[in-house]
Amino acid sequence: MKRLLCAVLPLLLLLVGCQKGPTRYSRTTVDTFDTVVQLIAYDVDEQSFAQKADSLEAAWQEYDRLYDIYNEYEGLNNLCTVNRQAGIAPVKVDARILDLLAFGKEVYTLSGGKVNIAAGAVLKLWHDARTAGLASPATAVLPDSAALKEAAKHTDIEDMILDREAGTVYLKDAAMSLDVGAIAKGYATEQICRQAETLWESAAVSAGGNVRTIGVRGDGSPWQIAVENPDQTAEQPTVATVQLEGESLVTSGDYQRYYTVGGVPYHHIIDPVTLAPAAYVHETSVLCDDSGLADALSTALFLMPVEDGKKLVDSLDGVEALWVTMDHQITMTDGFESRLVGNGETR
Amino acid sequence: MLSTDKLTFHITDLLIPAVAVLLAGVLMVLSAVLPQPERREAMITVDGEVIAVLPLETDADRLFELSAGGVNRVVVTDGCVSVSEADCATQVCVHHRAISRVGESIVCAPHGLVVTVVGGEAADAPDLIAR
Ligand SMILES: [Zn+2]
Repeated sequence: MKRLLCAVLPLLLLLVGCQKGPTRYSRTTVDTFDTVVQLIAYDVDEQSFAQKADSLEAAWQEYDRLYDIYNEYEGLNNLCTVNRQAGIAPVKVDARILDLLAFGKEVYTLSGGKVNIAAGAVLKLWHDARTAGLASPATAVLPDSAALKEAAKHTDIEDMILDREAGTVYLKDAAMSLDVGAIAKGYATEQICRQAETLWESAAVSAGGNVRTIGVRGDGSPWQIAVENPDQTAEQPTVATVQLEGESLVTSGDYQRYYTVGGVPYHHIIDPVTLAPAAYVHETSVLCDDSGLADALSTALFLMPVEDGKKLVDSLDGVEALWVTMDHQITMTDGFESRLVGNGETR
Repeated sequence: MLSTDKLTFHITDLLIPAVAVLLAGVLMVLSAVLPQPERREAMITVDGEVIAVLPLETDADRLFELSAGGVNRVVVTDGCVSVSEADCATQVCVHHRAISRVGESIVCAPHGLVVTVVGGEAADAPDLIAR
């Protein structure tokens, strides 16, 4: 009997070591707000995974509605409501809106005014021209430059008044509006992942390409997260793959959302100085702990020359970045390079 | 006090576990090394429901008129699949590169349509792609 146990035990241990432990589950959801949410998590069984995933999707849906600038919802004051009430009255809003807008102010300062959530008036002109141009490519036009210049006069973030005690936000300038496109996805992803950290030890989320990891993979190895190749005609679908252990990776690029006027593509990330699509790089990618910060910084870096971006990144703790330049060269910080898959140890 | 009997070890006591370990090892290596069936296909889903599966070895050109409204044209050429045409507002699906690697996907979010390459093992594929 003792002998039999001796024989069976290691066999059992080996099999257990190979196949047991939490199982990897994944789910891809397309929500009604044009965002694909991919979720991977290690859990004890399918039902447990599905339950938790459902609760996170519900939370995600709430953020979506709160941060929606295009539609209003019955019984809910959201950013669309805030925009409609510009110059009229303060709007009582959910704390999650106040938190996002306060973060928006921080990001404005951090990026030297490059990332401005109060620039909705300018961004709306581009959004409308792009939407019309995509629906009818033959008649696609650029937004009127006089209209852009006029709109740019109504983008002062100091005119966005947050009142924590009253729980309200008021846009003082009737012609201004908020557009949180550069920060909302990352910010919501960060908040939801903090919730998910209480549910799973090991998970990874992509919200419309905004990646945030929790812990490491179920087998103890780091998550492998790739950066999309901005050259959509290139054979290689990605330009780099990094190892993450609980951090976030967010990318901004000119290759996804754009429309074409007279054969020239115009993408959606607008330079606040030129009031036209930024033309410094094809893509920027930021690696750091906080997904909201990663989202904001990847946009900020996209809106400045590589050298300025490197200075900004160097001034911040725990932030690494990658750039794909206009001539498709890849440049990155040393810290980013040290995370590349195949570059030995993580960190 | 320990009896001397318990400390005695016979070589045969080691033999059986050793063989067991070896056998388990060989089985594991075999299951990892043996070739998986490698027939790549484009799985097309709308709101999570599979509406079509196209083998990537055969060129194809399919127009999907979705019941909830909206149109996507999915094309298979030279082992790659892409969305060549759609009437969605953002055109992100049309702008997306042609895909051919297992695990890659193209999403048309406004239509809830996802094209995913499936089949075989996704060796070396990243867990997620930041884009
Ligand atoms: Zn589409």
